[in-house]
Amino acid sequence: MSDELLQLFGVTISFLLSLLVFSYLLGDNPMYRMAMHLFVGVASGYATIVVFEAVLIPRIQNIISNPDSTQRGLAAVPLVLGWLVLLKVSGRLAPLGNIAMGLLVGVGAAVAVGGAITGTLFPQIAANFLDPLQPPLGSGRTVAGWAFDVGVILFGTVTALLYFYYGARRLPSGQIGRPALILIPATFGQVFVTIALAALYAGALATAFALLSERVLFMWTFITGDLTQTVLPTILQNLGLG
Amino acid sequence: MADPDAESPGEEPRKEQTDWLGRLRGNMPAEADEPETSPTKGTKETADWLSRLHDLEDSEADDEAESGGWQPPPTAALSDEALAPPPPPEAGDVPDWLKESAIKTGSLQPTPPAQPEEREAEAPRVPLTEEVPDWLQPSLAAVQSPDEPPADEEKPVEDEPPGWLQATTLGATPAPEAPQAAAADDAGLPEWLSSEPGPEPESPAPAPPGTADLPGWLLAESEESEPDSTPIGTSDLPAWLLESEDSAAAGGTASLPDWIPGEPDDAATPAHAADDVIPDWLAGLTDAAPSLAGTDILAAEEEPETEADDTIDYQPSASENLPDWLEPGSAASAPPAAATEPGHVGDIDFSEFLVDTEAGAALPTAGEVTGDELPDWLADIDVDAPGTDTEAPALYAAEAGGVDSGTLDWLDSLSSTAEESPPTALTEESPSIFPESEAAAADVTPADDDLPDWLASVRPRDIEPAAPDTGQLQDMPLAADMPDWLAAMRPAGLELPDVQPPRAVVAPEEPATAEAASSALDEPAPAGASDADSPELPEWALALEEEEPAVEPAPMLQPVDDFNETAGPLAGMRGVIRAEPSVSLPGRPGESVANFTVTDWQKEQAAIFHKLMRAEIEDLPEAPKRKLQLPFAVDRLLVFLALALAVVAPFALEQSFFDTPNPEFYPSNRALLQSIADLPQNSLVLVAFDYDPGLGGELNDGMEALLVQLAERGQRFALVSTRPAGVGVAQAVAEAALARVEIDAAETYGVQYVNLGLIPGGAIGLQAFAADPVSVIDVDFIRGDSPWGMDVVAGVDSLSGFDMMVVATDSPAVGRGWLEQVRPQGVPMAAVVTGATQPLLQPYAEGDNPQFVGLSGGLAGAFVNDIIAPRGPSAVSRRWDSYSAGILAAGLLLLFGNVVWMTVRLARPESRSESSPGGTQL
Repeated sequence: MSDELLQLFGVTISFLLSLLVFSYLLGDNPMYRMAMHLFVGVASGYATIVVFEAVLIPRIQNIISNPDSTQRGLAAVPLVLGWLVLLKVSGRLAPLGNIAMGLLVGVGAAVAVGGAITGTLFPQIAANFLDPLQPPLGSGRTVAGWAFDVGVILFGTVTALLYFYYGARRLPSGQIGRPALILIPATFGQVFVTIALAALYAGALATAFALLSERVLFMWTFITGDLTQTVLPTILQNLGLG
Repeated sequence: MADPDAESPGEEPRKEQTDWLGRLRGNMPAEADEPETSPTKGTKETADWLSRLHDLEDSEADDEAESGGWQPPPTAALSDEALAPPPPPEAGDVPDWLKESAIKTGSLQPTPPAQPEEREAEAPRVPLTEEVPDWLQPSLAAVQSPDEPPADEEKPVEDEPPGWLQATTLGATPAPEAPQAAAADDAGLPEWLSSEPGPEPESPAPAPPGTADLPGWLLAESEESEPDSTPIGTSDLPAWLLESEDSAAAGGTASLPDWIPGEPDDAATPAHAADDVIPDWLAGLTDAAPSLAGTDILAAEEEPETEADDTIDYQPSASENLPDWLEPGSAASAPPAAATEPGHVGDIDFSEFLVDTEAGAALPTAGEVTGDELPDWLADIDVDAPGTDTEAPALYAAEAGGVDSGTLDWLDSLSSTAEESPPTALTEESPSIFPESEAAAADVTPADDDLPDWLASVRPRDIEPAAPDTGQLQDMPLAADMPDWLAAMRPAGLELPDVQPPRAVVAPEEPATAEAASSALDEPAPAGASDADSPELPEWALALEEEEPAVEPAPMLQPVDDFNETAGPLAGMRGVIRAEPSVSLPGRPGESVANFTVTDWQKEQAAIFHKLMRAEIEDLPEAPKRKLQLPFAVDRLLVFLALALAVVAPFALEQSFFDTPNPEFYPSNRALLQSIADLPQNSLVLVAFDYDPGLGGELNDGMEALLVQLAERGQRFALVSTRPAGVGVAQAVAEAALARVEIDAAETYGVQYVNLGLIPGGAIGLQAFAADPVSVIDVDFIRGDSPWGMDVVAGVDSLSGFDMMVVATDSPAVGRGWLEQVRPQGVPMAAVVTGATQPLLQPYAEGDNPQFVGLSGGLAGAFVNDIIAPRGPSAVSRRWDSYSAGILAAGLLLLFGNVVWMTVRLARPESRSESSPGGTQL
């Protein structure tokens, strides 16, 4: 089978699987489930193979081939810990994997927290200390425009933070509610939060349409190109009809 | 036989027993007596119900011991003085069963309560005393003879004797001649009567096989007392009796009393019962005074069972000392007809023995008994005393004269009670189970000075008033205490009455304490026993009952803390000490400290939540059936058709409807491309593909354009991924990009680019990779060799060896992870993200010192890249119209939906109130 036929076969399978996924528009059906199961299975198998070939086998080979026993011992520690994690699948031997899991979770939490502080919290706080009168160099922004932008950023940040201030007290009118000093900025903060959420929704929608357009383009191309120009003639030719 | 468990009352009589037994058994070897008198041995082998009988005898013995001797000297007929009402005995000297009778006759006043042990011990005695054995009934008749009527006798016996007495006497009248004839003739005497008198024990005569239905051990007795009785078959014997015979034959009687042939292992066997019932003193008495009726009876029981060494010499040898009525021919009545019921221990009719004694046929006369073998009391019997030739047997020494008036009081009360009480239905089917006890209680009329106290106490002082003649057995009260095995042996014809506990029939003793009395009175009546059937409470009990309320319990102090424990082992107990100090107990607050203060908006929210929750539990009305049932949702299909039309139409029309994006509005994209353009040639760029193939439709085009930019500029790049699937995506995109610039990917692998493969461990792996990339990446993805030896990454041992990093991801977390873990190394970093991720990562690309030097987001960013650095026809441009049309259609649908919703809401105010409040008021 030539490479063209293999490519044609692969494109045809992709087309069929795309149709099966789109069949979900008519509701949950076995065709859709079959496509999902096939995708999950192929992805899992692919990931397993990659892990074995890219991680496990090379490291085991390093342990075996390392002439230094100390290095071998140190290299075997992760392997042993990984083997203990695998024991979690057994109900009776699962406690043996707690050590490795504890180490993994603890180190992961420490790494995540440290990274969040140094990589997100402090940089983002520092990013809000903007000089409104001095636009960034090379941005071409005017001072007024830059000052407006800085003002909007500052106002939006403060009001959004005030929106998440949960506290109520008895007002002089007898009603229970937020004090006016918090209520008004929080209302604006709600607007900024809503805009942020709308941007996220718009981004998700844009991603969805980007993927849909790509799939539609693929199918349209297959139908108008490969199917009519390559697949069907090939099939008819093999059947003696073309 | 004293009960070892008994209190002190049993000790002294035991000593006296030894003394008088020593006198009685002058010729007996001391070794033979010891086992018999040992109370412990016999008691240990006795069942509980038998132990009660032991206690009974002990208590009786105590009473006798206190009252003096039991056998008065044979004197003349009872005198008026003798039969006169005796002075009220002291309470401590009168047994309880006698007290009731005495109280009824007015001869005894309620006495102080007795010891509880005595009450317990005498509990089963009353049924025994209620039943007047046959052999005693003639004596009763003699006592109540017209010549010597009791002083308090209301109705002379001779005028109209009670039915039970009539039956007894009538039954005695047609006695067969055989016993008398046998008594006259030595040849007809049983072996035990014909044996030689002397100290040597007499071997028991073997029971003739197949003679009667009696048990083996009784068979010999009946055989000897009634030689002409109907032979009984041993086949009718119960197993335990047969076993008893076997054991007796085996000689396993070392621990048995003399008169017992053998003691079965089972302590509940009747043989054992008989063993325990017969007191030792009685056994010894039969040695010395076999001619006495009562002792003859016992001797008749003992004789065939005793071993050679232990056999008591009851051979009559002092017939001259016997009273007249004991002498042959003195009895006016013949022995009653045999009334034995086979197969039952209680079926032994000891009246037969008595009759034999009365007739003088089967029993040795008193004159045959040598004087030195007789005890003192027996020696004091005046044979020639007037009244000895009366019809009553000489057993009742009051007839024989010389009777202590005080001693014979019990006879007076007995006779009077017998007249007052209904006749005892002592039928053939109702022989007493424990004839020995009855004999010991009824036939013994001791002389107070000759008997030990405990023996004197055995003397029956009264006969319990018989229960109303219900046609039932008189020994039925015993049925309550009757063991199962014995009850099972009861003949089927016998009707078991309602069980009445012996305590209810017993003449109540005065309890030692008021509490004991009250407890005794508080005992529940037996089931089925009516008030009429239950015995009346004695006066002393009634008096106690009346006095009881006077003893008011001391008022108890109410617990101050009525705390009820609810946890722990003391749960449920009230008044316990609290585990926690009272100061730490939570008190009731003075006023509400936490009142909910809610706003109207919060109330509305709560109402909405309540409505939602109520809808979950309420039954929704059945939705109206649609006219057209479709297998799918129409609305969903319509939306999809609208969007699909918008997406597909640009391809079908092949006409552009939307303008290309202006790069001026995408500064991040421009910054990204500018960063790449600013890289020096042959720079090394690390490109991370951290997304799955599913998102390739959005990111692949942008990454492909980026790699094209790098390839065209002669930059090297190394591919890496933290996702297993991303490694393959990276390789595919790289090959596609290189193809666009007409570079053979296979040839340039390792030179211009390399796929480092997977970075395992997520954020930890990123940190490790940032610290030491060589140690994390062992092999590359394509060749499987160490990439660090390839030309493309030669000399790189840290991240600083890379000139730039580009991260392509669809996850904000992954993008931040790269920033947080790898960015601090100082390497410029750019990102290519999806449209959904861009809003979250865009802040990292803004500001004076952005963390991302460039950011390309979504399909638009990819298109901008193609616009800024065009390399041939852009794949994005082909679907830009489709993408734009789709977003426009989605926007229009959203707008249309909101308009419709607002229109409906304005048109239906009620729906507005039910729906969400919409704009919130903070």
